[in-house]
Amino acid sequence: MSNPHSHPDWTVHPVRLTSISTRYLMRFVPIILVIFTILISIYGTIAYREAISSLESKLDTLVSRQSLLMGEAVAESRNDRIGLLVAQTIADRDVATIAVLDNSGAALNKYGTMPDVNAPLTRAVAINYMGDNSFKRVGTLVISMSKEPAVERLTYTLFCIALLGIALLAAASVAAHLVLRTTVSQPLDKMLTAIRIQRESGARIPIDWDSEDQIGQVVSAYNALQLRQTKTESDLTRLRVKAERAHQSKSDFVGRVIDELRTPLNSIVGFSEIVSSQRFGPDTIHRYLSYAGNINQAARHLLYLIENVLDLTRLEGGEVEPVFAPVKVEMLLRRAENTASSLSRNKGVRLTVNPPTPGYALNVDAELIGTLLGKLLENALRHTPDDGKVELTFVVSPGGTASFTVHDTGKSIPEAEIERLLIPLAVSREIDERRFHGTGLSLPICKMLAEMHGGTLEITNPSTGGSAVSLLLPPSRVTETPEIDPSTGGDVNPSPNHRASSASVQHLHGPV
Amino acid sequence: MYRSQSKARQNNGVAPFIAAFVFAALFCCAQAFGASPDLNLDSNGLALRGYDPVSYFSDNRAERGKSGISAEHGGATYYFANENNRDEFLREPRLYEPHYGGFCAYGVAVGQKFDGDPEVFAIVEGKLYLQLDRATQTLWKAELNKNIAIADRTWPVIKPIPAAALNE
Repeated sequence: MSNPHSHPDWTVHPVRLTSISTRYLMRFVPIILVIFTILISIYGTIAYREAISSLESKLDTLVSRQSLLMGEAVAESRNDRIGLLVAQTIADRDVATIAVLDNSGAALNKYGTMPDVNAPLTRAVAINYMGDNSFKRVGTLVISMSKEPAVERLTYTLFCIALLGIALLAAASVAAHLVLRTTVSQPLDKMLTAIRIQRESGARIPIDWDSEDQIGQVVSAYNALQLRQTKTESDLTRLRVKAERAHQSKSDFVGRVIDELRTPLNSIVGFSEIVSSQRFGPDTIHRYLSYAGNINQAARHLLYLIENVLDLTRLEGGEVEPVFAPVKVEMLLRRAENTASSLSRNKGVRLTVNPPTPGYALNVDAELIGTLLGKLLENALRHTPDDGKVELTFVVSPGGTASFTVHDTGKSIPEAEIERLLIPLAVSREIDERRFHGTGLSLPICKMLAEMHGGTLEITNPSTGGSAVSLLLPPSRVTETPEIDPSTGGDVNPSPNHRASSASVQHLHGPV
Repeated sequence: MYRSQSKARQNNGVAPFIAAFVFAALFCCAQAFGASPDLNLDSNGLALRGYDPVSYFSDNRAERGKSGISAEHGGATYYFANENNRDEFLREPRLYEPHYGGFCAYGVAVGQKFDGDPEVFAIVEGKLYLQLDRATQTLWKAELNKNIAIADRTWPVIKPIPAAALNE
């Protein structure tokens, strides 16, 4: 946009601010003034007509009465009495002129100029005198009235009404201003202040205004909006931090995987070089055979690592879809025991699977739980020192939570590392070398498998020594009596979607 | 009353009585279609300015009638304060009609038809007399019997003549 003020100018100018009440009064006052003027004009017109009409009726009565009163005086030509009656008549301020004429038309007495009989507000009446037998006409009385005094009175009345109206308007304006200030201007000022503060410092201050009207609704809506905005911003910040952390851990993971891969590759390269170049001469076949064993072991470890990375990637990518079906617990334990018995272990390490309370069945994916338990046992067997003991136990807590616990007699795990054990390859190098060399992936895989079933993985250091890893399954997974035949329960044909996972599981179960 | 009728064209102060009679006869013919000149009516044909004629006799006071309770009699409209008064009036209207057609009784005595004020009244021997105002009434009452006697003589003479014609 070419307009430099392309966005609305939200800057608040306290000095230039035109208040609502001023704007309201600037419209209210002229409208009321116009209405008031119209009303006064209408009233004035009606009152004027009323006044003229009442003046005419008063003139009628006056001229009639005076003609009756003057009858005798005119008949007897008593000028002093005529003068008295004329004087009495003109005492009324509305009377402009009066003339008493005899039958010849000559004025016997008058006040003011002789008025035109046909002029408005002028009356001429015969003066009759009652004789002994009959009446006779003795003269004419002409009276005219002036409307000026009446108009003057009317003008004064209108002026008083106008003054009263203006006073009323002023009072109404003041009242309207006060009411507007308390109901509209104050909350608006508070809102503007809050907006200005937010613009200047970014702080979101809730507006303290409580009323039921529209302003109150606007204020509470504004407050709610601000609250939501604050929440959204904090959510965004948290998500950004989380994303950054995830990115960081991904990079770390890749770095560690490469590191992990380099170690066995180095041995393979080193030993195979020695063997291929026959560095120690052709006679030491025994030694070369031992190196070949080393190469094999390193290659297997490499394979194991790569398979785990692949498993993890598949699980993380959501490629593995669990198929839930009720399975007897005994079957799961047997399967795990079978897997574990084929694994290499240190000398004299005993594996014990405690028989569970019969009758329990779980609604789980038997393949995945079998893999999970196998991995837990493998993990324990690998790192339990000579003459140690590994125990697998199934318990259902009173709350209904089912738990498989693998307990070994190896070294306990530092508290600080427990959480890191569940993050792929995040466990510190030192711990890893000592206890879990090359296995930084199997516990995170187990954790993901557990989460697929709505369960969790719990690592503890029991007071009896060693360490314990427990798979906790929620009560909803426990079915007391299997609904289908136990012999087929665990052997559900994998769906095509399941094939990927079963393939990976086969790898996991492969020889190490 | 006369202001609602044609005004005097010129001030013929010395016109004889006979001329007035001729005029009056002409006016009577001309006004055959309009309001009769022997009753004091307003422009709407309302008598006594809307006051109840019966109240003067029953309560001895002037009382405004209601436009909703009205009756027609002899070309005039009367308003009444209540239904009973109307029924009473319609039973015998002659008893309640104002004397001299509602014109000022003193004015009639001197041969004039002045508007009678319904508030200024007197009942003498069962007849309702209205006056122009209280000053006139005072003069009239000073020689009550004489004035009534003269007016009774004058009224038949001026009865058919319109008020305006009496001032020609």
